Amino acid sequence: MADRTILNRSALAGLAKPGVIGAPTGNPGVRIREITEFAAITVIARRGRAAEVVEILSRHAGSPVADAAKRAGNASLSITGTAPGQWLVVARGAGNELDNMRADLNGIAAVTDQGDGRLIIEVCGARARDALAKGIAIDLDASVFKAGDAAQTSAAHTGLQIALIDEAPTFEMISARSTAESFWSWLVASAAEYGIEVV
Amino acid sequence: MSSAGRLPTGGLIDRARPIQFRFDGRSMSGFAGDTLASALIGNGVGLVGRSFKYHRPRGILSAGSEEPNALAELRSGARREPNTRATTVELFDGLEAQSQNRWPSLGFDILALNGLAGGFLSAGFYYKTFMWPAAFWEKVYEPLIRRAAGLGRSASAEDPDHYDKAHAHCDILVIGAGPAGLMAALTAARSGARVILADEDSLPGGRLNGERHEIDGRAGSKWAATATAELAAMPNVRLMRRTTIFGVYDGGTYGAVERVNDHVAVPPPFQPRQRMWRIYARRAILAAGALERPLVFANNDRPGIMLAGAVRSYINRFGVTPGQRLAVFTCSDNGWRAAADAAAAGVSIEAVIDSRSDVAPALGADLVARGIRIFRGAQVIRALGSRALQAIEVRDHTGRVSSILCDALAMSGGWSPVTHLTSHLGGRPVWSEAHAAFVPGTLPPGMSVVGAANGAMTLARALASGRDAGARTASDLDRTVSDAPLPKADDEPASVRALWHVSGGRGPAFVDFQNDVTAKDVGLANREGYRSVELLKRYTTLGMATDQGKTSNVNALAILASERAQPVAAVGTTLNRPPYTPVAIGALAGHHRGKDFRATRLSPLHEWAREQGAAFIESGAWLRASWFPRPGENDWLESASREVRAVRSAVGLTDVSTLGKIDIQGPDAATLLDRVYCNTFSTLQVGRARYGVMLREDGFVMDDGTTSRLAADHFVMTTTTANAVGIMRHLEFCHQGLWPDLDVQMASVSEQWAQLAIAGPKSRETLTRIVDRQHDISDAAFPYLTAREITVLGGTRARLFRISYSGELAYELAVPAGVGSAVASAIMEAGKDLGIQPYGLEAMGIMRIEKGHVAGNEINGQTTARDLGLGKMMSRKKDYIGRVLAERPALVTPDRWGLVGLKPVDWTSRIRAGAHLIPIGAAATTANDLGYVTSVAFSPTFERWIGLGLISGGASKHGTRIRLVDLLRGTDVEAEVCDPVFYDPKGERLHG
Repeated sequence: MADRTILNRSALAGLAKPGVIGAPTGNPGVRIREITEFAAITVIARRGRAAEVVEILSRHAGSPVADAAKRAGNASLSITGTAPGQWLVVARGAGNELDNMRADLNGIAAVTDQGDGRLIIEVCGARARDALAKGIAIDLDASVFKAGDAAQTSAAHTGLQIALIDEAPTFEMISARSTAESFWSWLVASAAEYGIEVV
Repeated sequence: MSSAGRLPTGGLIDRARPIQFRFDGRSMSGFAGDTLASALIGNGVGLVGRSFKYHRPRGILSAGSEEPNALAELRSGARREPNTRATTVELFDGLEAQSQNRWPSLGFDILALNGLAGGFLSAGFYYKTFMWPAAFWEKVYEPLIRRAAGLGRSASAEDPDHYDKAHAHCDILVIGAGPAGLMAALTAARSGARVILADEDSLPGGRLNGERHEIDGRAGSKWAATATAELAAMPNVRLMRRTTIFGVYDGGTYGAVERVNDHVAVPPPFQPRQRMWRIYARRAILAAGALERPLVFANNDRPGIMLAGAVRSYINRFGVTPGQRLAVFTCSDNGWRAAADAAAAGVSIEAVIDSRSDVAPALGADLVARGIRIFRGAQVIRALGSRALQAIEVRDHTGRVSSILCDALAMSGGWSPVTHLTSHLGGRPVWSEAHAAFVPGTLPPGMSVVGAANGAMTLARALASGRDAGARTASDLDRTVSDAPLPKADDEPASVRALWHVSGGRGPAFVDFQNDVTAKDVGLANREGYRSVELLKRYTTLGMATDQGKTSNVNALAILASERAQPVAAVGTTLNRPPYTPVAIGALAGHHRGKDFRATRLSPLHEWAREQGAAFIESGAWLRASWFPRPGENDWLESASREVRAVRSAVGLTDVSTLGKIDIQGPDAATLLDRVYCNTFSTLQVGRARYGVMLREDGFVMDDGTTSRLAADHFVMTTTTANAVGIMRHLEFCHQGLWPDLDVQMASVSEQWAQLAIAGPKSRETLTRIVDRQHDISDAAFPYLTAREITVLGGTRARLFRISYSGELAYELAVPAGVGSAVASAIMEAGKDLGIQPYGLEAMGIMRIEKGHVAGNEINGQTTARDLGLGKMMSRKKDYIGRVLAERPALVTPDRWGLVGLKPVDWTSRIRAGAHLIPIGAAATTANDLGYVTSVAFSPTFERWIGLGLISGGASKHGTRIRLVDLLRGTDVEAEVCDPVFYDPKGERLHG
């Protein structure tokens, strides 16, 4: 990504401040973290090239990437299937590794920068599922939505990509930048009764 | 004051935990586990409200959510809530309740005079009386009726509580936690299925808590508690108390409302008052039980007259009795049990009156042995007393009438299965003569019905039907069900012979207590021709309001059937719709109220605009900077005019980030654009931008915007703000549905890029100061309609487009959203000495009208490209969406309404958008209507009002005069029709 010589505001700048909010439970049931340093691209396979794209993405991820609603990758790079032949690739940190990927995909897939248009938050904790159920209609039960599963859905009238990173459970939610404040308002209101720690 | 009161022992209440509350200002006390109704009875209160129409004194009829009478205002101030059913309100410390529909007091109510006029206020009274004069309806009759009727007062302040909405998923939803529901849930849950068990009560067990049945040799309520504990401990079970399943919807979706904190005075911090649930269930088992019916006889509404099952609940569950001298009037075996229960609790039983003459002698054997008077083949024909029951008149099997003193009467007209939820998707209950009730007919997909709701009226049968359905449903879902013994319970006598109406008594015999509908009203409606059940309901209001006729509908239908001399099955029934019980609007809204009503979109430049002091306006989902007030300016027009002058004379900066932006890549990208735009894009050179117009299939204009070519196989399209989502969807449809063979990839980048318009003669000079040195943006290197990727401020990636909406030398600069505000601030700093000003939507709107650009007012779905003066853009060399239908005769006639400019002849006159164009000298009628004004602005550049409009004949009318007639605002202004481009018609300012 570009070198940033001027102030870059994250989607929740000034809102998601570290601290404890909501009910004073002593042991917050929900922990929320905004990922502020990341780059992201959408990758859309050219016609008939999806298999090649899967191969290239898998190589970069270091684990098999599927052409399906699944999230693969590691702590710094994740690749999530968003539609047939389409993925959202998120690189935590400066995102320099995306440049190589972009080069490898040249002519095989359309690559589009998306990192500035996205809000990424991680939600975890014992009551994370209860809080998320207040807006998300899909079944997030541990027996149904497992680590590595992903879905395109919505919450609080806002489009949303959700994935389960681990069984802690830690959910990754990716949404649009412009509605970040409204989304935050819903999330905090929904989790408040369980106690929230913003980290 | 009645002789109702607390029993010395018994009940499931916690006598160690007294609770203080107030009713109509009087301090009273009850116990944990009481409802407001049981606590009132415990305090000797029999009279709790006045009826809707006749203001008759009313008491408590039931012990559940079917209650028609005992409605109270609960709490005070902003939390005041009318029409709460005292029978379902759990008592809490500090509870405040007020009776309703009485003035000046519950004991003495002036409008009770309505009762004396009862014959006059009968069914259809309002329709017949308040017909004339019509003008009186709104000003006189309606306010008068509303004051007299009405059901309580809602709070006038904003609700201080929070409400939630939530989703839950399960294999099997069990509705109702009575014996059948508990048994079904236990059986299903033990198989490992994901089970949700919901019950409206705080205490699971249903009728087991109100009766004295034994299961496996111990109290039924104890069995229920054990079963509940087992369910609560299972990880695959969600036990939802205080939760009403109120509706059944498509695809196994159920609506539920959980009263999370209705049972406390104020919800604990951060907790919701109520929570709306949307439950997705693969299967449902309905175990909603049955509702007892009142008997219809004269003055059957006197306080102290109660459903027999309710009497049992109050005695057995709550340890209170509605009176000391109880009589029982029944047409079913079940009613006798009220007498037995009351006698066991030490209440004196004055008489048991059964309308059936052939009752099994064993039924009342123990009562006879105790010397209690038994009447068989007899009826209660009238109740005596006003604010409290004093006596009943009984007509025995010989026809002899005698009076019996009593202060409470338990009545049982048989039980109606709660079939409501089976009807929500259109299923029609069917009449069962054996049950003297409607039983479920066609069921919603995936639902089965058990227990009393399905006509299994005895405990043993209810348990068995619950177990069977639980096992069958779990097996259906491929679960292994282990055999468990059925708990032992009795099949008690439960026969019934319906008694719909006792005639002969003097006084109104109420069918619907809540709406004051009598048996006579039902007969009247039938005689006046309202013979269908649907018409009966609407004419008499029977079955309406908060109880939706739970205790009245079946009696009314049967009385109507008898009036029509037809069987009940032939008369049929109305269908129930959701919700089963009232649902607060707050619960339906959940979090989404106030500024959270819907998601607000904020531009990446929002922070910058806020710092600049913008006045924001809601524009669709967006909050946009409308103008930037400066000290000394009095209104928006002053601010916007200053902003326009800054742009026209120096330089201005505005936010155009809300425009839709779509990244289009692939070898066939140009082909796709040629097919969706009416003009050609395949000929566009790399590094150039072009204005494009899209048509709908029907030939009308859909949207417009600028599309730029960044590489041979890479375009970036802009759409209008309003159509950003719609155009993306349209392109996806075109690609996936129409031309899947095209190798093209599209991604919305509306969120990714902040877009800033820098406009004015000094815009280039300003930009030069932030664009990195290696990018030459001189006129020669970067002419009008150039589009190129550059960097700014030392390496920040950007895209620069030399396009103009204002009509000045202008650029649009796109930068990643995260740095949008910072770049905007840097541009402001760079242009400071050049006189740069931020400008908002209003200034932008003024300048586009000066420039004759069309916007949403003109691209309104009814205009063609030709109408808008864009006909030349329609390519003749290629095919595109809308091409064929744009040539329909009606779309090409010369008298179509086409775009023109309008300026008042008297330059000081104001003109109004929406005014119609009428020829001078002609009447302002539809027949003479030649078009209308679409957009107006006060132009600071020309210092006069100007407008755009659509006129029959379009450009051929230039130079003529017309009247702008606005009948709404009462204006009539003469104007000249002119070219729509008022400002710089040759476009010289765009170049250079």
